[in-house]
Amino acid sequence: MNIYSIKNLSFSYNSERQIFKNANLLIEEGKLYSLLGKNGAGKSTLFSLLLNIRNDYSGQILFMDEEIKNISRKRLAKNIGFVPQIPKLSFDYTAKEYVAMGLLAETSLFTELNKRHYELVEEAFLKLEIEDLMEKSFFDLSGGEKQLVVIARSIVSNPRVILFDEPTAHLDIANQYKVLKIIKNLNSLGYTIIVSTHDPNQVTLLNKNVIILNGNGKIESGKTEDIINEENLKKIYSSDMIVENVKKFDRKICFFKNIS
Amino acid sequence: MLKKINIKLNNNLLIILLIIILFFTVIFSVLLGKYDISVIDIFLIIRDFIFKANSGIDEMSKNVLLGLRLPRVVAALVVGVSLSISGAAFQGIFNNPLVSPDFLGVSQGACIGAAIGIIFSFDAFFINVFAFLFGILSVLITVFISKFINFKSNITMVLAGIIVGTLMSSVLGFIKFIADPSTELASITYWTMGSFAYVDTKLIKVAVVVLLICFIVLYKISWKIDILATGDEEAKVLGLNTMLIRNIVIICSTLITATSICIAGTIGWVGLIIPHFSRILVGSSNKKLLPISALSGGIFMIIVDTLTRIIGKVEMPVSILTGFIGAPVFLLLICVKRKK
Repeated sequence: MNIYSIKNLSFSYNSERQIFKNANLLIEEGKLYSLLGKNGAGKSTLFSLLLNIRNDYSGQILFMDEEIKNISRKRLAKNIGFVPQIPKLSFDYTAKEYVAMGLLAETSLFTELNKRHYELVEEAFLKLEIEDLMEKSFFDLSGGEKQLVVIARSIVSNPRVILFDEPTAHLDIANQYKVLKIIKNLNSLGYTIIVSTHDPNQVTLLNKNVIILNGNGKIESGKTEDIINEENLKKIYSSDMIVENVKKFDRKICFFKNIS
Repeated sequence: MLKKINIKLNNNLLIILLIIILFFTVIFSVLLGKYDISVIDIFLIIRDFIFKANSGIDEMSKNVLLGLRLPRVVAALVVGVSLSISGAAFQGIFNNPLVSPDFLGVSQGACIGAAIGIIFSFDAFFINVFAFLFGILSVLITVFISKFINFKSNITMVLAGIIVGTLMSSVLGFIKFIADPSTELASITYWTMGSFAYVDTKLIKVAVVVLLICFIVLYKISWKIDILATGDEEAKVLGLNTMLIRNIVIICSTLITATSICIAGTIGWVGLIIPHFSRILVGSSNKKLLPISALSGGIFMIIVDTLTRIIGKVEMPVSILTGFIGAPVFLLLICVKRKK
């Protein structure tokens, strides 16, 4: 089953900045996709369209074979988990209170979460093995811990797909690896995942499917081993990168030449 | 599990503690004044009033307690609760701890309404009606301007509030300019500084009903207000109808603020410092914050009103004292929060 079907998508912020032009894309259930593009290529825009935050586009975006514009916000929230680049929070809450917010769609205007819902919250912490963070203040968490708590919020409603918007952008290397490992584990548990990044090495580390935005308004996708090559990286970043296969790890590594 | 119960118990204990403090604050407040009434007499008068009995207490004591002091204390309680919960709710929906209940121009609008009423020599009831209507009108203009600008952010509402507030202040300045300096100007100035000296008991009854209904609604959606702290975009992704929650809070908060302004004029600082103080006590969860803010605000307002009665020979306007207390307390709260 296709989670998303994008057909002839066109979107522009203004007449000078066309982000998508007759673009097509299929996201299949249970698969992991890396979304690769340079800054400003349209990764966050694509997410805001997939989340139905923006609907001023032409063409069609189907979510589980239904026009996304016609699906209620609550139904989408139950089925789509989202991990933002930088989690926003104006007031301090405990990590548990924060993760519980992921179950909002389970309630109506004047009702709240019940005991069973809080059990789901605890399960989300256990699934990521971060139960020690549960009662901690969100403001007191480190950058890496915050991102894990946000991931817990994204899985608490057991969604069909999780969108990660550059989840490692502000993390150190160890935390980047930790988050990517969790993403891959979640995919092995059956979650469909789209994770945006501007680092091709993260794409090869995840080593599944890749979607590329190379600034011509089209969306291309395929297997990582087929798409990640010097020619495509040149198209994406408009600069020369070397791509080498490291046999020991059966993985491609992308890097620049020495600065001369 | 033990920790969870402990936290919950602390919150409940805090509510019980504040109710006890509120009880003694009320007793203390009605005891103080030029005419002496004993504690026993207070209870007997209240018992007689409820059960239509007669304990032989003199009429003067009854009139002072039931006609003057008790309505005044209830008025202070209602105003304190109203301003505190609307401040907390506004801070929640605008993601800004520096927001106060008059943020959308309700106070400035109410002042203009009252000033017009005073200029046209209306009686107290119609001055209050005018204050209420102009307060609501002012908020409606703010909302209309923010929709007219049509920028999808709550910053628009902030900007519209500043525009309307500034405009209303100028209109009030103009009314003061044309007012008779010997009579009307003094009345307008006194009204805008807030006082519980002339409370209307009928108005208090209306205010209690409005407050109860709005508090229940705000409390029922308190968890939804929490979710707005994640920002509009994330809140929508989580399934929240951000517009609906924001509109409910604006309607409820404006109604209770406008009603409380009708009771006692404009009173500053309460809606700003009490939610801050309460947030330090119980955290940011609005489900805990709203009841704690309500009780703390009520206690604070009764204490301030009692002080205005007993300090000096002439009764001081409430806003002067809330300003004197509010500014240093606010500084202290910011320091405590930073230290935390």
